Parts: sequence; C-alpha cells; structure tokens
Amino acid sequence: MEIKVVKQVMAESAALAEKVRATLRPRGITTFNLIGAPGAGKTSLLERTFAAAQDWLRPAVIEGDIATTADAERLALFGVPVVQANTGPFGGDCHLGVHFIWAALADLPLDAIRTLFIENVGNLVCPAEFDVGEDQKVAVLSLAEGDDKPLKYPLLFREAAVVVVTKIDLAPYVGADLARLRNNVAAVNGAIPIIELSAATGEGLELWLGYLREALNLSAG
Amino acid sequence: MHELSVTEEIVAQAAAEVERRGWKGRVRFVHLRLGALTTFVPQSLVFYFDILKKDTCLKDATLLVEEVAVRGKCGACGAVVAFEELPFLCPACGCPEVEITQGRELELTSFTVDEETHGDKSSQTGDG
Repeated sequence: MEIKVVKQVMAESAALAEKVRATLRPRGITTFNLIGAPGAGKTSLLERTFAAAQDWLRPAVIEGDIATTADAERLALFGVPVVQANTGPFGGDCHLGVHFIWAALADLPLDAIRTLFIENVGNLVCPAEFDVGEDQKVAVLSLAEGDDKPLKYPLLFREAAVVVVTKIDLAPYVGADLARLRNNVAAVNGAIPIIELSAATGEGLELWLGYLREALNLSAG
Repeated sequence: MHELSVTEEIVAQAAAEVERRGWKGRVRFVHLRLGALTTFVPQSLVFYFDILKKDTCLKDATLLVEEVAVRGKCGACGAVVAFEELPFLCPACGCPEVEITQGRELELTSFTVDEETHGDKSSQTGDG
C-alpha cells in the first residue's frame, strides 16, 4: 500500500534561513548573496564597492570558499568585518549552507552594520538552489565566461534579483557579445535587471552603487 | 556533488518517518517529487540513496523520483503554460514576465509499505 506523507526535504534549512532573516531584518541589515563562477570577479566587485561606498553601506562580509582565507584577507584590508567560512580543505561543499551563515552571525558586529554581503563559493550551479537567509541573490557573471551562460545555468538567473555582468572591458578580447548576453538573460528571466560594469576601469560601478542604495532604501546623495 | 548532502537529508527524514510510524523493514519504495528546475539530478539522488540507506531502516527500500515539469503563469495575460525548454516567455502574448509556479519541488510524498504479515489478520478478512 502507498501511504501519503508530504514532507519538504529542505524544511529544516528553510526554517533556519527564516531565523537568519528574523535576526538581520529587525536590525535594518540588508543581505546580498553573491553567486557566480570561480573568477567571475565577486571579490573584486566587493573591493570596488567598499572603496567607493563603505561609509553609507557599513558592510560586513561572510566569505565562502572551499579552502583558503585569501579573499577574506583582501576584504579585511578595508577594515570591514569579515568572517571566513571554509566548507572543507580538500573539496568540501560546493555551496554555503545556511548553517554556515547562522554560525557566522555570532562573529559579526550586527549592531554596527547596515549591509551584509555573503560571497558564496564560486559555482554557478549549487548555490542557486539554497536559501541562506538573504534578502536578494545577486548573480555575478563575467563577460569573459561567455554570453551563453544564462541558458546553461538557468536556475541562478531565475532565483537572482539582479545580474551583475563584470569585466565588460574584456569584450573585445574574449569574443563575447553583450547584446547576446542580455537576450540570453531575458530568455530565462525577462524581469531581471542587468548591471554591466568593469571593476578594473570603474565603468558602470555607479549603476551598481545606485542599485544598492535603492535596495537599502537610501536617498541619493 | 550537492546531491550528497540533499540525499542525506532525504534519508534522514524518510528514516525518521519510518521509525515513527513503525514501518521498519516493510518499506519498499520512497516516493520523491523533484521539480525540473532544480539543479538535482535524479540518478545521483538514487545513487547516493542506495549508499546512504545501508545502515538505516530503509536498507530494503528504493527511491522513486517523479519529475515535475516546469509551469508558469504569465504576468500580463494570465496564461498558464508548461515549459519544456527555454525561453521562459509567454507563448500566448510574448510577455517575458512569467512567474514560475511549478518546477522547484523537492518533497517526499509517500511510502509504499508492505502489509504486516505477522500478528492478528482477522481484521483484514471478509471485506470482499
């Protein structure tokens, strides 16, 4: 006999993600979960962001990597609170589970920050699947990865609130086409905004900062 | 590779349910619904399930995965659409603002359990 028993497999982690949100939101903290392939430019984007807007962002970072503290060290240079979450020295989890985030909150000065950036493990697939208590997922895709990636990894582009296309200064060298990339993003998610920038030249960075300002409900200026 | 941690969760939840309901040793199939827009590969879930079940009350059970198609609702004309491929555009009006309503499922739905073979069976007889 077949007996019905409906259970959400992710119920426990979904509940913990709500607990993370219930901890951060009442303190006025907005949380962005940055997801992109290894080398997409997530850390460089944060470096540029902190250099330009650390005063009003009052940011902290949870830095997710399988191994090393290299990215955390880069970001700590800004005087920003950083917690490193390593998922395993020789090939651990391919994404940050919400339990990493929950544990990291204890090490962050929550009363002093306004924005929390979670830099997820470099990976276009798995992190898209998991709610870690963020307000928004941010898809970070470098133009150098190719303009076809939204079609190959559609879930992230469905789950994200915004796509940040990085390294647009490399367009002439990598044979990727921004117009085609925009079309491919639209094929997966026609409603998602796309921000195009270069952390190397600073081009487009204002658009990203404007987006953050709006997400934090701060007036311009 | 993230199927491993998800399958651990599936086995833990299913085993807890089986223990709670006293179905130990009698579960033939564990039924799971899996949306086509998840990043989980059904064959990988089954592969890990067969490894992880060994030391549990599910050691004789098989995981059956039912794939759930992607469906969406157009934000403009309200059409309800099944998608087998990209793009997620409304085929009726061309609008790109399609809300995905189905395809992200990851849920245990039922268990196929053998009838109890021992004990008093008189209550099961004579019901035509």
